[in-house]
Amino acid sequence: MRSRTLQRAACALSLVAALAAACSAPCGPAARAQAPAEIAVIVNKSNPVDDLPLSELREYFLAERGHWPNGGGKVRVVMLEQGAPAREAALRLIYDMNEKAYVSYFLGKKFRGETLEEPRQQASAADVIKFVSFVPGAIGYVRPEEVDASVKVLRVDGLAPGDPGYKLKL
Amino acid sequence: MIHKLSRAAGAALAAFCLALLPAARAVAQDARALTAGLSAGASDANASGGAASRRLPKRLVLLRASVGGDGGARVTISSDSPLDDCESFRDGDDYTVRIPWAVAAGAALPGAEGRFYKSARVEERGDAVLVTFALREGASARLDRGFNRLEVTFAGAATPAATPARDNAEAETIREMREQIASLEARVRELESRQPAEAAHAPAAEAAAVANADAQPAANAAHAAHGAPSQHDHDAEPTGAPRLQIQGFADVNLNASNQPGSHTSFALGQLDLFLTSRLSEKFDVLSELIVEANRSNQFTFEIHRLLLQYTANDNLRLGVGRYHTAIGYYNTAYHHGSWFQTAANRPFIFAFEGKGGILPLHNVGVQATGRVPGAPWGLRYVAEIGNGRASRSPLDAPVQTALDENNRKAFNLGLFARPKTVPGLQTGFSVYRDRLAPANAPTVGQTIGAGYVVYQNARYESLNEFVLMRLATNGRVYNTPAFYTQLSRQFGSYRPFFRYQYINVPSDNPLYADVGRRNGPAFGVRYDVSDFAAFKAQYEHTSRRRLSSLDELFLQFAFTF
Repeated sequence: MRSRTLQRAACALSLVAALAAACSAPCGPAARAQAPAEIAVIVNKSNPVDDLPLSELREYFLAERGHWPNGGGKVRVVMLEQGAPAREAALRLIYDMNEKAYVSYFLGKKFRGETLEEPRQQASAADVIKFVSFVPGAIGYVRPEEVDASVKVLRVDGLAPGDPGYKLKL
Repeated sequence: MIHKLSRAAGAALAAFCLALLPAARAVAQDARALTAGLSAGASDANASGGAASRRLPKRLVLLRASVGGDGGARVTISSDSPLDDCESFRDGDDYTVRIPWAVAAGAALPGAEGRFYKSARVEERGDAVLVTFALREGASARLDRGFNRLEVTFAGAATPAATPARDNAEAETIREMREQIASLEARVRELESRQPAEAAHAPAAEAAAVANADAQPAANAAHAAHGAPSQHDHDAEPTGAPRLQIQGFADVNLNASNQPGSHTSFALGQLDLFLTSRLSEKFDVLSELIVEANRSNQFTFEIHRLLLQYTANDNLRLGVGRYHTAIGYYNTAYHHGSWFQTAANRPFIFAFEGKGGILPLHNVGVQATGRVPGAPWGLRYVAEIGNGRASRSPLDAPVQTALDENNRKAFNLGLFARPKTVPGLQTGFSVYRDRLAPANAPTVGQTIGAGYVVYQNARYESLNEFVLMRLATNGRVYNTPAFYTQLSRQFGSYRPFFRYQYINVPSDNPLYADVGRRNGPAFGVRYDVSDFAAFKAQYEHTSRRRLSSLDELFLQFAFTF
């Protein structure tokens, strides 16, 4: 009797799973429409790094690497706050995550003891630039047109924003 | 006749003048020498103008000029005598004040340069003193006479006062000051932002609690309130005493099973308090405190992790304390945070020691981990040495937190790779070695090899692990193979999953024979009711050697807070 009840429960679960499989996740077209065409990755001007492969850039943003090469100090990732179009773009282009996955990812990182250095958040591009210009190990992103001379724009896979084939482009 | 007399008188007068000239020069020299010794209170008679005064000692022009006005817009020159006969003229960019019958008694003008002139010089030329200002482009000057003072007033387009070298130096100084100001502003903003965030913590949490779990604002509030990545957590440079961060994980369950003697029950799962604190740039502490009810419905409390970590760089992080042994993937990926797990329970091979698991999942000792320098594929290592697990004895707690049963220590060495070219992929293996000393029995050599291939991203999950435990005692070897595979895919808020697991402990295994063989599928679905709470429904079928099969249903709410 009890086994039969459990079998029915299992059938119900199968149905739920099948229904779930039929659902598809909305990908936020509105947010995508607002996102900038490109994002520029910026670092402190004292940072000797000028060019990074995209895969390595991801490692810095994902806290897989916590230090710059050759004793360059700790990496300080700075993000724009939720809702900023450039943040949406960075999540898609660099992290390959949505907001929820991003939060979960860093909670997991912290939980596993792999890092306590979560990305900082700044309210505006000006704040991001100021933070990056002040903190030697900082790395962040803004729209290319927002960059000023106080920070350095990194080339990604040898290409700068605006170059044909630049990868941080929607 | 008269004409001749006039001519003669003129010639005589000229001869007289010529005769007097050397004498006049001598007098002038004497006067110049004399003026050097004159006091400021020289006779006014000497100051009278006109040709007669030229015979008097020269004026002592005190070139201790003052510079006033807006950044050097006015220069004042004073003298011990009236300066009413001075004149000024401009030659190109040079503006010169000529003070006749005077000597310079002071050094150069204190304001040797200013906003309106590039340089100023003082020179004696003949009987006069010349003060010359080299004006900057667009600047002009005007001379105002007082009784015994002159004022040169400048006007026009002011330009930087500095020379190019000084320009550079001052520009550098200004740049540095601006950077310091910017850094201070950033720091102040950071400190200010922390205050309202902390103040807003309670309202945000309250909002999250009372609002509909699906409501995005509430989710955002909860997000901001408790640990979504933000600058408020773990600042790069902690100030004052270390700040303790707490993240909670918990689950509530409804379990049903066909196992004889079991009852369908609501069950409070583990309350997992995950604590972290940064002590300095390189030191931090993390801990997991678990409160849960046992099968006697009594609460137990245990420190499952307490680790002091030192991070030298990406290649070396040292930890000392109690940690989760890096055997395989599951144990160190999920620890006690059920919210992280897709399924409602752990694969049996990674069941905790207190719940019938056979692996030494907790250990007390020292661990080191980091990237392998220069290695490809994001290769990392882990090395651990600790007390290991106690032999299975009813009287022993499985984790030897305070006392080891022997002097032999357990070692665990592992390598794993996270290739940057395939984000989400992780694969690795580990070898664990210990010697167990069960009471009233021969020692048992224990070797555990584990390997895994895991792929996870926001949409897909594929966990595949294999473990082989080898026990050797009295010349015999007992191998226990185990594996599981778990697949899932995200569809919006739903994540259906499937798992198949297998473990086979030989019937004559000296330590874990009661586990026997277990294998079977499990499937279910996880539904994220909010960003930080999930509902899981799971059905599991387990075949057992010489025992009836188990059919179990697990319903679980798991959340983090």
